[in-house]
Amino acid sequence: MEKKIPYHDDPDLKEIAPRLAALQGKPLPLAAPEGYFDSFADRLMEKVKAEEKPSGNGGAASLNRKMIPVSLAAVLILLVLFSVSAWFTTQRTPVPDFSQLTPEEILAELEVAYLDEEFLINAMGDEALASLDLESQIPPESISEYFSGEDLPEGFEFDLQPDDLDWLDSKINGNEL
Amino acid sequence: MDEQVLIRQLQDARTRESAFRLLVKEYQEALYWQVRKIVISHDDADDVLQNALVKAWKGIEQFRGESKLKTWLFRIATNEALTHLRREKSRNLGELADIQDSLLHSLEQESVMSGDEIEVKLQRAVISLPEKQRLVFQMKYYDEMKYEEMAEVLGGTVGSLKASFHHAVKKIESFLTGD
Repeated sequence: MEKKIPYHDDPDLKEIAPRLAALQGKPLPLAAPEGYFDSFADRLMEKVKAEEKPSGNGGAASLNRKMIPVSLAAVLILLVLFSVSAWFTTQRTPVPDFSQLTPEEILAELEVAYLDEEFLINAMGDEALASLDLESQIPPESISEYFSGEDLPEGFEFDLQPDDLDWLDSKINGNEL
Repeated sequence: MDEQVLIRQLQDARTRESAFRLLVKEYQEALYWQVRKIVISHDDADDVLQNALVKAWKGIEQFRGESKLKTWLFRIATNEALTHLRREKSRNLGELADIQDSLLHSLEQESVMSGDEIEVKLQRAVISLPEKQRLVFQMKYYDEMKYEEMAEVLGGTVGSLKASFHHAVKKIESFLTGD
């Protein structure tokens, strides 16, 4: 199938390009295959439908693509949880089993461990605590100094009764008032 | 065929396919030659035209009737053909000096003329033109498209398109007379 050069109603063309004007009505040196246009619309609509219909693999691929951010988020959350867990594990100080220790060993622990005193006393239990002869190991001056209030926060007041002071003095000096 | 009726049918999902078939049958030949003159090879023209019309199908819902359907289709097909040429140029970089050599090669392969080769010579002259002049010349000389319509397809003003056609005609005449 050929296409022909149309006849132009353009007087200027003959004047400025007579050779070109003489080619009017001649066919292009190119041709379309016979019957090409008869089937073109059908082939085109097939292509249109093929592009509109998502294939099985395409659907799976599309689903996989959608899952990528979810998967990444899940991996990220797991990594964060694992890191936090690992950090807590390394940071946690093992608490010794004071019930299995002698009083001397507990005192040795107290010297090296930077643990909260109240925590340690609570952890020791009444029996272990009672067995400690703390008073004999602490010089009386230290106890007096401690209770003088020099190291206490400003405004702190003892709420000691006269009987309490008597009891304390008897414990420090071994004398009854 | 009433264009407004056809546009309504194209934008209605129930009638879209049959209306699009009508549209394709109406303009397929004109669009084919528009593309063929740009890419020269029939196989390339077939690919380009199909891709262009698939794009038209996908974009038909957004068509607002601001230009004629024919102009809209010509714009899509022309852009697709030019994109094809640029893609080919980047792919063949190093093998062929430029896209004009590639098109001349296709012309030699696809030319159906024998004996009087003046038409082939004309094609060689057209291929040697700068892209804009070439498009304007082809759309005016072969398709007798009005400058106003051409401006909608290619962009630019009527004045600049007339100037491009005039320059193209002078160059081609010079080429044909062997000056």
